[in-house]
Amino acid sequence: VPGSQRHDGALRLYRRLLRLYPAPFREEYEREMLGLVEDARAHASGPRARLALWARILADLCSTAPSEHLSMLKEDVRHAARALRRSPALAACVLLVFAVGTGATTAIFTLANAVLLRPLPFDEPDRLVLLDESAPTRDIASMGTTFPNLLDYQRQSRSFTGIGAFFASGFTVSGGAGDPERVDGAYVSWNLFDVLGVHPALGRAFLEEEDRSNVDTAVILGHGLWQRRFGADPGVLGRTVLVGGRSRLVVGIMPPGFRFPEAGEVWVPMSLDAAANTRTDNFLTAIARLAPGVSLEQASADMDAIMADIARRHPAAASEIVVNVRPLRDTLTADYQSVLVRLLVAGLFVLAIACTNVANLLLARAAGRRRELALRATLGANRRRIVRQLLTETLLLAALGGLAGAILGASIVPAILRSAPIDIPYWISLDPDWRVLAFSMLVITLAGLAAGVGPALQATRLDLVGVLTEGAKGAGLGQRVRRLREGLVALQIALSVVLLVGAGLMVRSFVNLAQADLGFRADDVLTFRLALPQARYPERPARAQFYGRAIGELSALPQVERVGAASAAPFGGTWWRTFLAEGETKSRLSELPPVLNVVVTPGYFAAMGISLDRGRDFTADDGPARPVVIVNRTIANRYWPGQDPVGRQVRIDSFLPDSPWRTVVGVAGDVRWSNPREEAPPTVYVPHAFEPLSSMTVVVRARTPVPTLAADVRTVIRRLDPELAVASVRPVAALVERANWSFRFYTQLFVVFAVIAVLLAAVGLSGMLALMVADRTHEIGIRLAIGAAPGTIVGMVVGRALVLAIVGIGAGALGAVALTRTLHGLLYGVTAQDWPTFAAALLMLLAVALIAGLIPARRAARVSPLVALKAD
Amino acid sequence: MGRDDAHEIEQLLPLPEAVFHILLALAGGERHGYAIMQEVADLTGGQMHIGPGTLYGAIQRMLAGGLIDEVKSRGGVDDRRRTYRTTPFGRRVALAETERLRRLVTRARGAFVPKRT
Repeated sequence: VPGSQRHDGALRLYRRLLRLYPAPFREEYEREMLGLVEDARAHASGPRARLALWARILADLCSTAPSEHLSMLKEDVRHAARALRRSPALAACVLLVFAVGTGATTAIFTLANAVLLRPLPFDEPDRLVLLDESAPTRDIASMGTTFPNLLDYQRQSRSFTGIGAFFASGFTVSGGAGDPERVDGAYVSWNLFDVLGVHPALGRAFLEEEDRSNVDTAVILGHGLWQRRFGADPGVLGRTVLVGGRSRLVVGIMPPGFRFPEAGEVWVPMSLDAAANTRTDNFLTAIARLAPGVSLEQASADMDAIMADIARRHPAAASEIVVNVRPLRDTLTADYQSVLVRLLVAGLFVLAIACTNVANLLLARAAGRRRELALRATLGANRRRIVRQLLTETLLLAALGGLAGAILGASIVPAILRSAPIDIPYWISLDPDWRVLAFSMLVITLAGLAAGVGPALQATRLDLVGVLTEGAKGAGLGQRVRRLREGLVALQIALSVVLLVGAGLMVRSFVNLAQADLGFRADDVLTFRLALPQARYPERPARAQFYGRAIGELSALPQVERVGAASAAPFGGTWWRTFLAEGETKSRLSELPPVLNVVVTPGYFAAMGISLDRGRDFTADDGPARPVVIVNRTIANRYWPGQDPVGRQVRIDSFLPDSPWRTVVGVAGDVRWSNPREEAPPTVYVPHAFEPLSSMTVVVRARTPVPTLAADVRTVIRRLDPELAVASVRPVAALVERANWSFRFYTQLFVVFAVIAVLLAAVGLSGMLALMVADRTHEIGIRLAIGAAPGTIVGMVVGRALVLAIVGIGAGALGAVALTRTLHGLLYGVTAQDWPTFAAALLMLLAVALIAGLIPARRAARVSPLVALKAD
Repeated sequence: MGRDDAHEIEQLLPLPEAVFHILLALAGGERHGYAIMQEVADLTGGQMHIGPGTLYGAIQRMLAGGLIDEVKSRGGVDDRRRTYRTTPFGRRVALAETERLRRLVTRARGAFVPKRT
């Protein structure tokens, strides 16, 4: 009959829908409910009645299925809470271990999320790309772009809705509240904020005419600067303020939180002159927004064609330049990605150790609960139900412990970073967001399941009759369970080995880094930055004269030993130019090697403690009339090995027609200018008298540590020019610390993880052995009774500890060989296969295993034969 | 028993609607699921239909609470249907609920029915 077939179909559907009920409920009542529905259907006459019946049944299903789940969950949680109250010590242990595991993982995820996952705070950030030139033939990977090239890009490209550019700079801002202040900022193309998709909160962005050369009249302020200096007064719009010694009209205030490029808070138009900029002045960073529908590859092809055209027209400057179109996000995060991923892996290791630790604790407890569980099983609870309840216990602990750990983890890393002596780029937001929440929920659930499923299944694999009929004692753990628990302990040890070796390699690298010879003496040296406003010091001699006077007056301070100035502080930005030595015939730019160019005043080498190997220091007379340079040891050894470089002739940027031949007057020691990790680059020192820059880093070496030195320095500078801002006042030691800070931070995280891992593994091992001893008290008692020496018993327990440790260490060492290789790029002065580090880690774990074994072993040796035997 | 479970009964009141109706349906003797459903519909003049999920959810809790128990199968033809009956405790609970409702109805009558003078 067609009608009954339709009914059967509906019934089958209903049977399928019954899966919405919790499994135990379904198992109990599925048959009954189907029978009932069948009866009801048989009694329903007519299509209307049947339709009404099915509507009622469906409504009933929708309302009762969720409530059955809820009531079962409530019951399970109630049951779990009761069970946990019965063993508070165990519950506390599990909570703590879960908290540690989730905390470690969440902490790193918070960091990785902030840097790698969060969208950049721009409009449609995925469409933003960097147009970055490189010179593969000269090994220069990233060199920004030049102004003439930028104009060609803007005119010829078809792939972008806009191309903007900027170069970072500092500006002295006066007006408003307080002394003149040095503020980070940037020269920007008029359209840059539009390309980024960030618009001023007040006022407007720059106009195209404000970006023409020699206009230089507008400024946009950051929200923080506006609040700090101008009391958040909207009336400042349309007024002029003194920025870099020049009166500028405030046209806009950016939204709160916006800083650019890193911590910058003041922006002025670049106002560059195409005629005055060459195609070799790579000081611009170009950011473009991909047009809708244009892929990265298409944009790349477009830019390649434009660059080929530029190279055709300007072969000398551009023939070997490649322009790369790269996602902005990748270029920003490139430095952090590998270390964060490795730290995340280390965090997951800690989590894995925590989970195995909990699993072991639960397995141990399951042994003690076997009678209870068997009793419940005989009373009719089915296995699925008991597994569910045991899992609920674990998940409850995972949720409570994990939540505490996650909150701690998500707040501790931002707190550390905010108090660190580093500038966090503004695009990194450390506040936890939904990703952190979702991640920690996922971690908590997975950790709870990972730790709970095994023990729950194991606990319910019961031989009911066996458990209920056997005596309370001597219920030795099944061989399988013991194997499982020992395997888990060995796994914990193996994971700890990997973390410990990794941490060891990081520590050795850090020690090497801290001891590396940077080429200067950092003790008792103060540096600060001065920038003479172009408007008031337009003439080169005036600038040279000012620095001469400043250095003279500072030197006159009684506590000061030497004073000098340089165009940059160590690790504070580099200026690359090309180098040609006498006798060489290279003319193409691509053949000329890049060298670091540092402008210094007389006395700088002495003040910084940089050695002068040969020749002489600069004097005030080394001006344009007498072009001289000092080269560093690296250049001397490369060009004149075994000969005296003094008196040789060299040219800097020889492709420029007005580049003079300069005489080498001295050889200075190598200084690691770019980075404490990198060997000193070939460096040329140019006298300030020859190239009187307006912006210099002054270096003051004190005779003894003087706390008031900074204040004295400010007084001297104020006396010379009250409008000048004394900026970035820092001991050189602090610069070094800053440069090494992030590596120190990573190292500390690795060490913390390794310590947690080793502690957890030790506790896990000790706990497992203690249970083994408790389990075999009877046997130990007999052995002692028939005359075994306590030492034998100790040997038995410690022996087991060492066997497990050796198995774990062996596996861990293999894992470490495979995994620490990925640390290669982070390490310094040590290889990833550094055998002393491996040996130290392995020995340390062996020692820890020995101690972890001795505690339960001594308890075993103290077993009183009488008590042990009577207890049966 | 008697006095001792007074407190326990007190805790259960007011009974969920489905539970009270099921107790009422079982007052006339043991019944299986469909019969309970039918009886409830009859008792309420077709106003109340208990769906399968509601019915067996309530039965599960009533079994756990000792209000009803399952009649052991006698191996009859209708073997596959489980049959339930009220326990003495279940009857006392039903009685207590009835008493509670009676008091409520009395109060309601006093409040809403116009008094004849």
